[in-house]
Amino acid sequence: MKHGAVLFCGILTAFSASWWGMVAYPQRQLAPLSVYQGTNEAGNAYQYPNARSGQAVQGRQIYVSLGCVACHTQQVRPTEGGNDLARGWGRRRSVARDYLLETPIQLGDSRLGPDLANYGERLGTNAFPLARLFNPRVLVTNSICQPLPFLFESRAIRSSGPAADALVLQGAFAPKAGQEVVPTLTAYQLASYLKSLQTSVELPEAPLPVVTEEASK
Amino acid sequence: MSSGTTTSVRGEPYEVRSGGPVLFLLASGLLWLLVGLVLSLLTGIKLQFPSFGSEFAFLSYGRLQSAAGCALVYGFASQVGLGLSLWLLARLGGRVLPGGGLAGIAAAFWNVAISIGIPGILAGQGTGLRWLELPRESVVVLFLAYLILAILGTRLLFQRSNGRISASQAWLLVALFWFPWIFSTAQVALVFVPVRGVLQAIMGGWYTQALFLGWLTSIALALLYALLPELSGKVAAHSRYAGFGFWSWLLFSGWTAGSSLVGGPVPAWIPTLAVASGVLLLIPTVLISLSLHSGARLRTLFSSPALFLATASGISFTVFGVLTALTSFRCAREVLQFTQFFVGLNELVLFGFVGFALFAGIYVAVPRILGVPLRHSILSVLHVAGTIAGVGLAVASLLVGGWFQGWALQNGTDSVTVARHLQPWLCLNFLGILLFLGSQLALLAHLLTAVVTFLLPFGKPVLAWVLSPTSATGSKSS
Repeated sequence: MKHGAVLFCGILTAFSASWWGMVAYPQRQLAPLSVYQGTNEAGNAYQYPNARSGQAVQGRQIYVSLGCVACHTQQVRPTEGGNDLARGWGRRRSVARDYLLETPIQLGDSRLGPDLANYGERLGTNAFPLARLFNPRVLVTNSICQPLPFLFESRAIRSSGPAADALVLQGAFAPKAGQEVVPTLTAYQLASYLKSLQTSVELPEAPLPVVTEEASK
Repeated sequence: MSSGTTTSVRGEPYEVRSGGPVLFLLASGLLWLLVGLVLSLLTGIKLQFPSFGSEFAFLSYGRLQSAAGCALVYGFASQVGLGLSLWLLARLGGRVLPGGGLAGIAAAFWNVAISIGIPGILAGQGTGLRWLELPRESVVVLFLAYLILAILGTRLLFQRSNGRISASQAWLLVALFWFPWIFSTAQVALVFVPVRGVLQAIMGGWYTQALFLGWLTSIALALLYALLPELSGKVAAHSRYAGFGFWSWLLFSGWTAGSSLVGGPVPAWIPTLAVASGVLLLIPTVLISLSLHSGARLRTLFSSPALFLATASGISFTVFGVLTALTSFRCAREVLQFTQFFVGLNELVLFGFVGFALFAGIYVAVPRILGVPLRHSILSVLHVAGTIAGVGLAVASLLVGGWFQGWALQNGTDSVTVARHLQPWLCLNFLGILLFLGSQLALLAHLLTAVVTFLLPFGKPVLAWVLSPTSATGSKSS
């Protein structure tokens, strides 16, 4: 039994060390991290990260429930970790503060599709193209991303005329004559979340690159 | 016990009397393996034909992938692993599993938990955290079921009739204590009272590593240390290596958690530590491999399916350890991070190393418990050949395809082109999994013959009684 006690203590020590180092200590180290309060060049105060709108929060739940994280990461690695910045997936690397309000975190570990950390930013001033959710191949011919037609309602065009937000679909994707495809609330929520994915905010630990005259040309 | 004929030897009384719950865990574990593989195949179809079943939310790629992963890890590997652990503890300790009825109930509840959990994930109730997707309500049931089985197993260990603890028992002790620790920590800190931000990613990485390198690895190594010397008829020559390997594995494996976070938004020391411990993991890999393979002889390798599978499992372990060490370096991580390479490595552990060891355990345990020999037949040849070829193809295609994917991503090729070029490799992976699934049908048929042989003596009088109800009382003679 003596042998057993030694063995048990040894195992306990090894486990405790790993638990302390990988669970307890990071918790202590990262606990003081808080929302950043700063002032931009124009002298206006800003804070980051910000809570999402209610619609985007609901959209995030849909993102989680559909398991989009299986193919899409949400993290931009620094130049020494990969070529994410060169690909234009972000203007600066991702840092711990970016995820302060994210639960459950959707960092992701597989890139069958593009990184989405700054997807909303890549859209620019455009609204999210909803047809992309209905079928990604409407916009990207060869995409292997799955269509999500269950976020849309296919219905007969009403007597009052086609719905204002009916999708404009052509060719193989066009609905039958007299039919239209209308986004449901869920589609708007998910779109709102995807549009909210923007992290290009100046932080002391992750400054934005200075765009010089030469570089911008 | 001579080699080859081991599978036809009737087990000791304590094995037979502990057998009910064990057989139940093995049988239901194998059924979950089939479910998990079918779900995996569906994800494979989705990757070739994204529109497949897209009208249904439950056939979303993400949900199918999570459900497949949970079915394979908790339904198959953990469950069969638990069953074989109890059998091994009873056998090595020379004691009957206490509370057989209680163990049976716990085993049933384990299955209830997974039966709630998998449909829950498909319905969109998953937690969205890798390997922790099972919904809350099923997790509680699963954990309670585990605790009962683990307490019964630990009692077997501490009430063993012989003094010294063998290498196999030491690994089982690690497994039984490590799983509740990591599972409860991860569930509390990530699901029930979530910690903030990237801490979730760090703890999630810790859980994943501990799940594969701690829990599942310990069970598989325990099986190999118990089975290999017995099946090959050779005592391992380097038993000292086994001890050093044990402690160094325990020391280093717990610190590799940050390997999936290289370049990620976490404090830099976490991935750095992971790189260092990933490389150091080479030491226990070599030591354990030496102690496992020292008894291997090519002549005896084909004498029984169990020996062949156990050897293949040991080789998978070595390959996995070496690949983990090599891919720990930053230059490799830069290219391979986020690719299918690591999916392939996971399949190598789950199907190759752990899966093969569990199958070897099944080939030895079932005949001993039932007291019916499992003859080396065409079915076992089909199973072993199909399993090894299928897993080999599935893993190799992802390891190679992952490299190409990584290079293309690093060169700045656009995501769609990268994915299109990856598709042939994913197709090969699909075929590998299909072969793996098909060969399991041979195993089930084989086990079924053993069960029928076992039931035949009981069935005869019943059958005779059914066929001639009028002479029911005299049916004994017929």
